[in-house]
Amino acid sequence: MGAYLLRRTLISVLVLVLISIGIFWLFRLAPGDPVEMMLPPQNRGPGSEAFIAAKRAELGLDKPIWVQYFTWLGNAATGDLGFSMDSGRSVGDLLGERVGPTVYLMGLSLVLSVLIAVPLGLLAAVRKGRLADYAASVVSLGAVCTPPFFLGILGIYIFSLKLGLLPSAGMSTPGSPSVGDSLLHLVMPLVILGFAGSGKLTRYVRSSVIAELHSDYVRTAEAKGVSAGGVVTKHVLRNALIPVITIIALSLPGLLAGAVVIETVFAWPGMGQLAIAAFNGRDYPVIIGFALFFAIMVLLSNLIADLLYTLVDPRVSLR
Amino acid sequence: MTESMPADLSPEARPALRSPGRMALRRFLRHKLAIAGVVVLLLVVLVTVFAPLLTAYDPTKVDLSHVRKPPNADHVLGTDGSGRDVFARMLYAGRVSLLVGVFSALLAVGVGTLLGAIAGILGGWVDSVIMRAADIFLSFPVLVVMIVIAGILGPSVTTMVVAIGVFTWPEAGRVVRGVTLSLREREFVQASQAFGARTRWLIVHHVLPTVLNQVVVVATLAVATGILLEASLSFLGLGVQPPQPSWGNMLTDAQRLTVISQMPWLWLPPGIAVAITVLSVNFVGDGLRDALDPREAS
Amino acid sequence: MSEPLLVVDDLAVEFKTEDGIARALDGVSFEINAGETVAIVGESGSGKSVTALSVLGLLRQPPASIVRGSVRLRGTELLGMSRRKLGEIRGKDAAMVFQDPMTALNPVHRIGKQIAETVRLHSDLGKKEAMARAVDLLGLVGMAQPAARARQYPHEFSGGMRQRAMIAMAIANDPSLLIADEPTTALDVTIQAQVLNLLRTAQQETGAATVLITHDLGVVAEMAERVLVMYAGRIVERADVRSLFRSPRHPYTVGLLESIPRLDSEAQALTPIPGSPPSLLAPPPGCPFAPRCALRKGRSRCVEERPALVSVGDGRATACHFSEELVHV
Repeated sequence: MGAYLLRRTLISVLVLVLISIGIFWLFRLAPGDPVEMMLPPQNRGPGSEAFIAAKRAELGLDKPIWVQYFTWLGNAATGDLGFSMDSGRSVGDLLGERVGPTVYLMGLSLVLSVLIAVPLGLLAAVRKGRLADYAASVVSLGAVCTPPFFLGILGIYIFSLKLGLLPSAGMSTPGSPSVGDSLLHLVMPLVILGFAGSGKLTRYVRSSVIAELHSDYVRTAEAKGVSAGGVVTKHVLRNALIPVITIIALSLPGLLAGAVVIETVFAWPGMGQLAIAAFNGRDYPVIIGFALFFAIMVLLSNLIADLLYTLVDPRVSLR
Repeated sequence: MTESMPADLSPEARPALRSPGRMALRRFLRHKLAIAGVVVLLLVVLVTVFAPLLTAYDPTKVDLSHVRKPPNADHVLGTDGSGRDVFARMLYAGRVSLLVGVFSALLAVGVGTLLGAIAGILGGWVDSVIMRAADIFLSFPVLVVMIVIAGILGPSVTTMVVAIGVFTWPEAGRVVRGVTLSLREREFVQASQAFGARTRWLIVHHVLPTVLNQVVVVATLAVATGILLEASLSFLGLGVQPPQPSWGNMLTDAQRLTVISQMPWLWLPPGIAVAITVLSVNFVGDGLRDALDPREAS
Repeated sequence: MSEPLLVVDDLAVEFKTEDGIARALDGVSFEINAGETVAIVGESGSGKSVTALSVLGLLRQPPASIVRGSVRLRGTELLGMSRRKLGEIRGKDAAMVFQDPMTALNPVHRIGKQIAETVRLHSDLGKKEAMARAVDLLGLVGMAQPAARARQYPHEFSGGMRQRAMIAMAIANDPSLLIADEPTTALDVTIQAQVLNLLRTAQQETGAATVLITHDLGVVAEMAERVLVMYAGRIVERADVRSLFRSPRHPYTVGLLESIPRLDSEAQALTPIPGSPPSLLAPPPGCPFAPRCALRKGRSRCVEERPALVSVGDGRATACHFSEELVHV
């Protein structure tokens, strides 16, 4: 396990470096000069030229490109990601305060997705070809084909505007924070994100269970006198979930993508909303900081998936 | 043993009912949902292609005297914030969404087939590198990547199509690689070579048909993915830019509560259109999968 | 003669396939007495495994379906029994050992746990006691360091050890009927002897009747008291083991015996049975062996009339119209 994981970690670091080069290169392609953008033409006066030159030197923009890259990389490694062009605040701070709500939403919706997908997929597999299977297919297909943001808008329409039951924006109502209030705000984003994520997962669980149901050890268990339910829960499920667990780990980046959309619809104060706002405002430092964070998150989830696989399957031993 | 060999082995001599193409068609037609999908899809395509015949309105023409009108005799689906006819926008938007879906799928499948074939044929470290790259591309969701790319370079339809294609190639790549690998070992390839068949003939008559079957399925499902991604990206402003309508960006307006609550005709049609189209493509894809590769049928 | 332990009467099983309905069992009848070892021998497709699975109700229906017949264990009808009641019998009164121990054991459960599971299903023992019994059983089947082995996973065992574990699992609750479906086919020849010895020991310890399913006549000679020969879903000969080998009364059995190499024979080449087994989709009206039979000599009765399994004295039976012609004096 040690050697294999070490190799994977090294490859991940290599990939991260490549990606960081890609991001940096992308940034260099951006139209417009970062300094000149800080000082729009109408604000320039007689001293502007000198000021721009001085700023340039200060930001190191006159140095060779690879020096700039390493400076930037070095800064990033120590947490200095620059300052938001929009608010002037440190990008690190912004990311830091936005991570919480996003992780909160993502984590809970992942749990919800699993809670929906595993029983539903199991039911569909055990009752393959029958009504329950088709019903589960309909649900999971619906989850996959309907854009989550559309469901969000629909949800707001029905539950916020017509029925007045649930709030339509934010994490909490300003001025009246309470657990109940936070929960109400959580319901719609959580349910939609969880439902959307369960679609594909249900199909995976279903096919994994179906494959396991044909195994010889099922017949042995039956020959021992294990009940039908016992066969499924004690024998099949454990085997069927092994590949599913790694899939869950690998779905984390996709979950972030979903969170971006949902946070936008529900004005949820998380990373996704920050990223879209930065995009709209062409706030490059924030975009880049977000890109780095995201790249790290993706590579980490791949590593976690590898780790989980070795932990969960006793046949995959130390290598 | 050879006296009983049939004299004529050409496809025409084989009983027509059992030919693979016919059997595939029969299996496809057994799939009621797939047929429904084909019908709906055909409808959508026809309606968007013949848009100019179905509506007299220009989807981008602004008419400030008829802003935000609910559906009425003049405008079947009402008008939007700039007075543009929603029905016309729906039809023309359909073109964009479908085209994005198709082109991104073609790109994904093209790149995937090429890389997958190379990986399968060359093997060794080339294979490892390509597969590792596939894993990495697979783990980056297009949406987030687009935020970064479009955020720095500016959003555009081309960027979107390329990004979707580039990040969804792994699926096609994996399939093609699998087929190439298994075909290399398969006995009929070795047997054909023993009979002196040239490599090119082998590829055309053996490799391509098998690959094509699986690739068609992957491509169809890639179209569905493309359409969905276009909707999400355009909704967020990362894709098709107004005034060019797309089903996705027609929903951007619906982030305002007044629009949501009082003007459902603005956001219900595009959302439903996306869902129905994607659903149909998925049904067709499932039907094709069962028809062309019955071993995969669950 | 006391009541037989297991009575199978006119059992017929069909399988729904893409190309039609296959008759896997076409009216099989036999009895197993308490404590005896009976071998069911035949080639692939003869229906021997289907017979074994039908007894314990382990056939998946669909695609299989039991169209008629009865299976009575100590007088109780097993066919059509509720799943729950069947579960009480399986693993306790009747147990089964399967062919490929690698796939037949659950890869993610430890061996000890799998044995303990069958113990707990049919007794009131708690987890600890059941596990202790599992360790005992592993020792009983000749496993060195049973306590350590019980904590291991199937993939850490060799093929022979896995089969020992399977046997331990099967005899855990002292069954009166033990069915072993090709228990040595997946094993090396050297291990086969060990496992067969183990089965014999197990039978002696528990006093269980053993039904041994095999295609290997060597195993039959080694282990069985009585033999049932199956072909195309029917029993074609029934005899005690010595009589079967000395004077077979069915042309198929003759063919089988002639196709195995023998030390005491002067023959230079093996004589295989010509042709191949019939398709089970459209069983012919007459004898299923007719197309390959050396005894038929063109006689039409063989293809027109199906031979019934008739007794020929001394507890023997055969399904052949002309079996007397096989009697050597």
